[in-house]
Amino acid sequence: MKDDNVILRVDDLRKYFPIKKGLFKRVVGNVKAVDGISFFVRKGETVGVVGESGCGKTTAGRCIVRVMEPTSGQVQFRRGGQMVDLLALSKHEMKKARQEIQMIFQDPFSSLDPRMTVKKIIAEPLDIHKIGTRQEQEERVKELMSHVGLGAYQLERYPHEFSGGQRQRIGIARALALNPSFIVCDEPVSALDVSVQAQVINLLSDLQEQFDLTYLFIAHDLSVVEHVSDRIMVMYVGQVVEMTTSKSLYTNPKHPYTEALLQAIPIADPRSRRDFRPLEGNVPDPSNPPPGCKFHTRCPYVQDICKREPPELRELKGMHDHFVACHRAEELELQGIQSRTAVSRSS
Amino acid sequence: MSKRALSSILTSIKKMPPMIIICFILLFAMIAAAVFLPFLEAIDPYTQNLLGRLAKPRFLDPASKYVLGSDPIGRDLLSRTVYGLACSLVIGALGVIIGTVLGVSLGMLSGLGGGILDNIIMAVAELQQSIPRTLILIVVVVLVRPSVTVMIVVLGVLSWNGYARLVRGQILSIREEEYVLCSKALGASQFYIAVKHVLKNIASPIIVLSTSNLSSIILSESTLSFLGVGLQPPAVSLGLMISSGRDHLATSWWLTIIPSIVLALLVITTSLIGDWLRDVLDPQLRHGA
Repeated sequence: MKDDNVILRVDDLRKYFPIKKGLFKRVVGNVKAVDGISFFVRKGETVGVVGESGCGKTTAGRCIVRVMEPTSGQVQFRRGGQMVDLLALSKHEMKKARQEIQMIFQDPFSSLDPRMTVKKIIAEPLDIHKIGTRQEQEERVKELMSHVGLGAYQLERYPHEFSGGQRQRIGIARALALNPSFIVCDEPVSALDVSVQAQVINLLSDLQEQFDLTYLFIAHDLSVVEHVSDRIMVMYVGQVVEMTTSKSLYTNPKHPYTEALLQAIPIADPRSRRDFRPLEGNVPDPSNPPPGCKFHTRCPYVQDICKREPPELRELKGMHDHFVACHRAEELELQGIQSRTAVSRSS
Repeated sequence: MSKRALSSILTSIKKMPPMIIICFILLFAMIAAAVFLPFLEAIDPYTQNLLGRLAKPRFLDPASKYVLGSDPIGRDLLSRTVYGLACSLVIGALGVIIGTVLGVSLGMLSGLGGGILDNIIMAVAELQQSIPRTLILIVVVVLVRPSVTVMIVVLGVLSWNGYARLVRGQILSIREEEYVLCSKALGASQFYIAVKHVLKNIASPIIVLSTSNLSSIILSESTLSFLGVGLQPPAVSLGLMISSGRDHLATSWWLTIIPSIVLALLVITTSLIGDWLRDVLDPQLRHGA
């Protein structure tokens, strides 16, 4: 990519969890949670990551912010006009870089320390990076709370006094404390009620505009991702199978797995009847994935080549920004669905 | 601590159940007696008076010279009980401090450090747990001449493994919480996480364990003294008094019963207060109650 606008580029990222057995903890195999993913994120955009549970979305997110050490690969991040490999940074340099990359967590109940007041929770990033005096930190916390729609009177409360949505707002305020440019949102709304999900998502998009943020938005729900993402990446058993703009992913999917995911989105219309064929079988065991294309065991369009050769992620000819990992991408006529964003926004 | 947290702790102190108030009054009375009575009491716990042997306590014989009676060689039972209580309190309190500090630091080392260090520490803890505590204590006090200091150190050190296991277990579960991941993502050091998140969250189980250990250390000391391998006469301890009074149980029951009641009260009050403290220290229970 010659794109100047790229803020994050991930190259062949892998995270294997060794399976140890026996008295001497011999390594007998690896769970390949993330098995060589590559993608890039442009400044100011939101890239959605979707896939079933266990496909490695969360692990990938955690490797990017280096909460987990990946097995191999590169995570290039733009700092001061230069791309730096985060994984090669020393502990000290990494700590500085961390100010720019933050994470919003999935579970608003476990992401806030139950013994800390909201003030302390939101001030924690400032505390760790030793920014400001107590007074200044408190001012900053109040400012952040108003950004996320919380009142300063709630400063001294404990997390259990808040609802799920409010807790997630606290988590968002904490992520904003250091003025980051890039935020990994790890299923930030999947633990919330549907009505609250919308509020939190709208808050995230408002903040994105206000502070010029870039999001990597991990979710397992396509309808949530569609709403917020500029581009969407679909993962299956630790690999990227398709990556393109939201619109073209919905209307013109090129990977059979994406098609299956789209077909599984419920339609809020009781009279709608459609030919729905759910995927058969289960997600393969990531410690022992099938040879060839990992999706071939469940793919309705499987051919011999799929069982032998793993497909590369490639950009489709004549289609800008549409990457897919399928041998038959060009020949298949896959069914998309009508993008509902336009409909729901106008109504 | 913030003002709001402080005020909510104050409210829960105001809402203290009557049972706990009684416990506190009893405990403070015992501590005060142990601290001040040795100065006020004219009668020394070691002074023998062969003419006043086995005197009845005042509540049985109003004419008695001794408030709580006297023992077979005419020593004042009241002042001996108070001395014994002081001795138990000192051994219990210092023993708990030694055990807590040692156990919590080893447990944190084990839980946060992991690896081979974790294996070694836990192996030692398990080894110790597989040998009855009283047996270890008897062997140690036979090898070393038992004194108050020896009792404190031995009982304190031997109680480490309960804390270490508790702390390690708590750390293993807290380590996976997302707020710890978040601290890591912010670049916090292990030490910061240990102090700011882990210690705060494991404080209340440690307090509960400490108070229950306080009573078990006091009981262990009494057991050893009762068996004759703890503190040696003429030292005064509740266990020794219960043991020596046993020979006269049929005729002078107060020699055994009075120190036993004091010991039981001490153990019950500390455990109940420990339970209550746990509830007060937990912000979630604090508001629920």
